[in-house]
Amino acid sequence: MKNHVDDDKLSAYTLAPSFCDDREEIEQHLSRCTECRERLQLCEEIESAFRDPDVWAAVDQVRTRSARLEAAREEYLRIEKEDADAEALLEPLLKTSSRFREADIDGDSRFHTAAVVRKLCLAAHARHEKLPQFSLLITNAACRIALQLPKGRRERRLVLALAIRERANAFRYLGRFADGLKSLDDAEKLFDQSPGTDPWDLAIVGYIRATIYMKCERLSEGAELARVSALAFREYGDSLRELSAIMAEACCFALAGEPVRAVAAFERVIAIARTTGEREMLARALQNAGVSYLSAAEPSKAVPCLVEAMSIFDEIGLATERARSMWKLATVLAGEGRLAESARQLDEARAELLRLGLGNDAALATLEWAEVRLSLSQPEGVADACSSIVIEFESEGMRRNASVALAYLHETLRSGSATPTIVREVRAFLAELRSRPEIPFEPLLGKFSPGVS
Amino acid sequence: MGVGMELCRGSPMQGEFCVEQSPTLLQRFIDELGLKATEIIEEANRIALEEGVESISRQHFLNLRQGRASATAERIYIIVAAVRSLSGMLIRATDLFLLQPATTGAAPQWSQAFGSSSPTPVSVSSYRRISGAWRSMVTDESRLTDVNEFEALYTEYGVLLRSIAIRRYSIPPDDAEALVHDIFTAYLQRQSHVRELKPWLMGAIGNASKDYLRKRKREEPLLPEHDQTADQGAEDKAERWMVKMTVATVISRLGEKCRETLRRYYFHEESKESIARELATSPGYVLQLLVSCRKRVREMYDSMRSSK
Repeated sequence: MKNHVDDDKLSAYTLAPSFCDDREEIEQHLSRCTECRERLQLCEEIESAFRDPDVWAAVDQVRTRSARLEAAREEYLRIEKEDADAEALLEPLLKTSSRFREADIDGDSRFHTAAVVRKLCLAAHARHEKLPQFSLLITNAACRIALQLPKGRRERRLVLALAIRERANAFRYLGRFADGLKSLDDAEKLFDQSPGTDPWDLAIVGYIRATIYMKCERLSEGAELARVSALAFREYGDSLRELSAIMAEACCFALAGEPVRAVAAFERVIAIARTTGEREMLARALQNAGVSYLSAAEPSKAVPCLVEAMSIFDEIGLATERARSMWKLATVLAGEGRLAESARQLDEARAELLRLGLGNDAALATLEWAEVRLSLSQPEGVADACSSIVIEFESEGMRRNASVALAYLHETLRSGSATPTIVREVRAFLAELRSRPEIPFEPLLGKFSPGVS
Repeated sequence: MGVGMELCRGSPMQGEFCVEQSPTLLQRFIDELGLKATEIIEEANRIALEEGVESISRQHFLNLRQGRASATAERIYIIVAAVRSLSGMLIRATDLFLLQPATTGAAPQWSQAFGSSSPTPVSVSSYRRISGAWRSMVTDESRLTDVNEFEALYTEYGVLLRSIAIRRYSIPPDDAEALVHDIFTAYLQRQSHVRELKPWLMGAIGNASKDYLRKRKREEPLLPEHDQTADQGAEDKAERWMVKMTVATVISRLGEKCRETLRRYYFHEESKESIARELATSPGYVLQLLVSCRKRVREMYDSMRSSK
């Protein structure tokens, strides 16, 4: 045999050599041909594999995997379709809160799907900041629909958990912190069916809770919870949420009057955000670090942070934050005794803040400008600028306290007794008012009765 | 200055790729698979020598792991090839390195900046669909539809997740399969919330595996190096195992008639006559079927081996 033995013959030879007509020829060829011997060896290995229990176990495993893949594929398609249907149903209704309310979707069985609940959570999330009442309305509907889903459906518990968690978020934005915490308690209990992802879902709950604690001045609890949440997010490579959680931890430190710890945490955010390329997060962390450095009496470290923050805000088009950074830089200048420069920059910053609709910030910047101008013994225009200050607060009590403080300021300006210290006192009071709404204004310098002109 | 401060500050240098956050993807892989850095470097440099490309120093590799340096395409190539060779998995460059900018998520929302009146951190659960991220991760071809991308992700990334469960946590293969499936199902329900899918899945398999072990009150999982092989005998064993697994894959792709006839004849050692009776046909036909099925197996086997 001159040519190589073909695969069919080799295969037949492996199966039963005695049945091969040209057995001798094959064996002679094999004795001198390495290539054919190797091919024969492979044939024998394959033949042996056919008899191997491990191989058949693996075959069954692969086939089971295929069945699983098929199941996952079907699940994917089912969710895609449900999501598309939900989108089509909800899209026209979510344009305004009145249209949404009128639609009464929880009374309509077409809306009773897990996808509708997921979409509602998504829609609410997008509205928390600007339309918090509407987002609460949406999350309430989501919760009611989730509860109406058939009890046997495995996703019912999860979407209910998601809806309640989102409702907690809506409460947070509305300042209804007790309701928010109660919702978080409820949501927490429902995330218990997926060991792989429960820690992550619970970390989101923990993060929201931490931010509520922060708002309620439960600062040490908030900082600890934010820290733990950040670790969980890190485990899932969820860098943006990790950064948010560290930022919350840092804010708790800042509010607790611990600027050194706050700076350390903000610097961690800065380091991570630089590597992950989260530009906006980086800019915010820089800005916050700058402010904390100021609180820690380290203006030289604050300046580079604020300058870089301003430049990034400028680059990404966040004009409001750029204006705030500009304002804080002017504060640094004042702290360094460069009063004329500071007054110029504050004047620019307050005009920009006002132009951008940031009334409260513009008011505080104006007071800071007034303080610097009085320090420069340049009171011209100060009384006029201060008389146009308007500060918005949510509650009647806060508005009343703010009015008292401003009336006191106007009175001292009118009488010519205003000093930089008085302006600083009023400014500090107004800046603190949101976090301490119940404390009335009491000037340190001299007695003052509201209503006395 | 913190770790990785020099990275990604601006655009990466031309011809270089930005290495991302700490822990980097590379570090996570090394940890999850229990690979040894020294072995990766040795293997990478062996490949570099073969391919005639630049080798990598220990220090550079350390910096890459810690996200403190960037790598050229050639170095990424030798590292990926080395990890493939050591782990036996078809790992892609994008599994180990961030080679393209992350898809931008919803911008974090702040109601106010800290310093104006009170600090408000970003809102937490911004949503984002990530089919685009799948695309960049699973394949470079954008023509695939989403469901195909999902399937590719399930198949290809599932291998890695199973390996983590099996190798790092010593979870039996069948149970590891089930855990991976559960994670993908859980993901589908949360896809709007997940921002970075790959690390998320890795976090999920880690926690699912730990929960599995907790529930079974198992002892500490074996360390990955316990089952590493180095000698020639072990390599031969590994090669035989590869042949068997390739044959198994081929058989699983055969039609049912072929597969079950082979199973009955070889594994259950049924006679041709018995099989013929069951199939209501002649023993001659069964023999013919066996020959053609074996031939098909051989062809598919050759095709699979040559493509590797």
